Amino acid sequence: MAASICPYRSISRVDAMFDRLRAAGRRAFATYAVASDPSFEESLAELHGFVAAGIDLIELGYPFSDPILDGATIQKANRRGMAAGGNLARTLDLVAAFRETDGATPIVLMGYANPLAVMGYEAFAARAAASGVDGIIVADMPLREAGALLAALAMHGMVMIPLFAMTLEEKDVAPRPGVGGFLYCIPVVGPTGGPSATIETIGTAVACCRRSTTLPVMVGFGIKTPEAAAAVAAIADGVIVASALIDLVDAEAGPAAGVQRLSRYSRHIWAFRQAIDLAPAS
Amino acid sequence: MALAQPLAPDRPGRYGRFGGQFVAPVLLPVLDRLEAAFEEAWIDRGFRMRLDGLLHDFVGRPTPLSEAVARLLPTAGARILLKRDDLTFNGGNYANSALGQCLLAGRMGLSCVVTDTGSGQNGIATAAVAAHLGMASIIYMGARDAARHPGAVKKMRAFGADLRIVQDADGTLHAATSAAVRHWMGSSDTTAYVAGAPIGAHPFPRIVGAFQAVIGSETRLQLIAAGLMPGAVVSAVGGGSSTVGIFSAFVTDPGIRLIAVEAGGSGEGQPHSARLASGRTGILHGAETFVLSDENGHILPAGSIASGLAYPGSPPELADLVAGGRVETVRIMDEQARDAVRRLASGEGILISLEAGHALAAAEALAQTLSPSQAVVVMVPAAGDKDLDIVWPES
Repeated sequence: MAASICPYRSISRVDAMFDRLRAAGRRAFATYAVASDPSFEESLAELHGFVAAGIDLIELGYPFSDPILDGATIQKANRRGMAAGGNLARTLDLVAAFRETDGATPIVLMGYANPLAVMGYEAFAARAAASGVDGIIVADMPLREAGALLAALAMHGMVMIPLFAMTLEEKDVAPRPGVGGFLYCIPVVGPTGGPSATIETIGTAVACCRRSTTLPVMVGFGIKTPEAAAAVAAIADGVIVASALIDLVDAEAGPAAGVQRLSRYSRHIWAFRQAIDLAPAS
Repeated sequence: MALAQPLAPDRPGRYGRFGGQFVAPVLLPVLDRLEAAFEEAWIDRGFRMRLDGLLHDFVGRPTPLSEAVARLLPTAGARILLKRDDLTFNGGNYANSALGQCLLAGRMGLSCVVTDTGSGQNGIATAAVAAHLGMASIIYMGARDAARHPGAVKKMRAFGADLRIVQDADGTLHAATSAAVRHWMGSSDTTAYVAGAPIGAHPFPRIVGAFQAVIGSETRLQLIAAGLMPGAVVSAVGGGSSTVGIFSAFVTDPGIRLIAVEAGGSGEGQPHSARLASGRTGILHGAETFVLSDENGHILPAGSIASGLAYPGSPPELADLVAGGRVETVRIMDEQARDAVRRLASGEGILISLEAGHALAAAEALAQTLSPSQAVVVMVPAAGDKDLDIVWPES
């Protein structure tokens, strides 16, 4: 981020994370949680737990009533978050609370356009920056519709992380102000939590991303096992595991909340982390 | 209406500040291909002749413009004319756009269509057309709507549709639309999404609006033949397919009032569907438009006795016409609509849907303020067979 645009932050947390990992020869590992699922306090503890277990970057979903591009797992998480009073404003409160003790881990919001439109792009960007948000992924706002949001984000030193599909034309991926962080490479079509792509397909998609960007490339959607994560880590700059991790945690018997849930998360995150770190560098 | 206006190239599919393409980026190439295929087909004489031929032979157009003889209310003022799309062979006015979109899908080499349905009309129309054209159809319907319309469920299955009941959310059209779009996202290389209404991302509002414009052009010709200049055209807005269709021929006549009727629901404090009059500007199902949503941007449940009107979004073209003051809005409650359906059935022998009942109730009120030399056109998008148990629960 140019210093003239954002005098307070010479380098973003996302860029700093990739610099640090690159220097250490490691790949990034990100996961996703819906804010306030199942409650504000447990959500906060979970975010810190993610970092302790080895997560580099957190995608934090702001609850929305109609997550049209998400599969059953994340739809349910959105409903639980809403039931606990979750919404965009509370999600920003959650990030601010997280930042009280963690100033380094990048947090990227992920969600849908309507809550942003209703809050107003400028008001959102100002509040998000003040809360310590680093960027945003908006599932239903392609760059060709994002002009007003991008301008607001750039003004406040944040970025929109673009979603990349192989079929996109040049005009829909061209770099522009307000876009940055990394490229979110989606090698499959269809909602979250759906089928996996073959590693060959993922390889083609990543190569395609590299041709259109100098940003780091992270791959998400359909990565369900540590083995698959390792294979992706060998060809990309990072791996995003969202629905699969939630499913693994939810599939185990026993109390689903609090410390037990967190310790289950830690175990699965650790398994993915080991696999990713052992993958040969590309 | 806006069909003739050039669209700004940097903001595709905008109607004023409404519309756009708020979809997952992966769908953009699909939308671009669809737009190109439609524009090419729309100016292809062969395509239009096949469409017109099937509209006549398979859909049953033109539908009549028939007068409701002035026995509706003792004090009836202006004449009331009904545009009878309840008389198409399947699915009321939805047959128009289902036929057009299935023909387009076939032309694009796709063999399967997926859609969503509220009261069953769009599902029936799509299932029938798909069967006629030898295509597979997959139809999503909310669980609550399916329970309210068992006849429609049977009819869609009779036409060979793969009907999928959605339990999500409030079990109405909103949930069905989300499920159908999710399905389409994962299978857009073989499957076309048939939009029931001129809502969603560009080019769907443009495509559905173009295929539904036949309602307006027929009505206009019928009025000219009858030597009538109507004081107003009245239509109830659910997804807005019939409203956009009939308004299209009259938008440029400033002397004709255009009245969009919204569902007021069962009463104060209960869910309603009046998002044109009292919604917020928001983004739902691919377009920026008037949306029923709370201050946090959560979509609110829409409610109406008429399933087809209970939708929290609105057509971007209509949102623009309302914002610009060309289209007026009126709110009609469940009971007023039911009463209008009953009176027309017992007084005239015409059984219209509850959706149309909303428009009729609004038209009757308006007619009383006009002189007997004037006329009000009421859009009747569908027949009332589907609503028999709701309108006459006691029989």
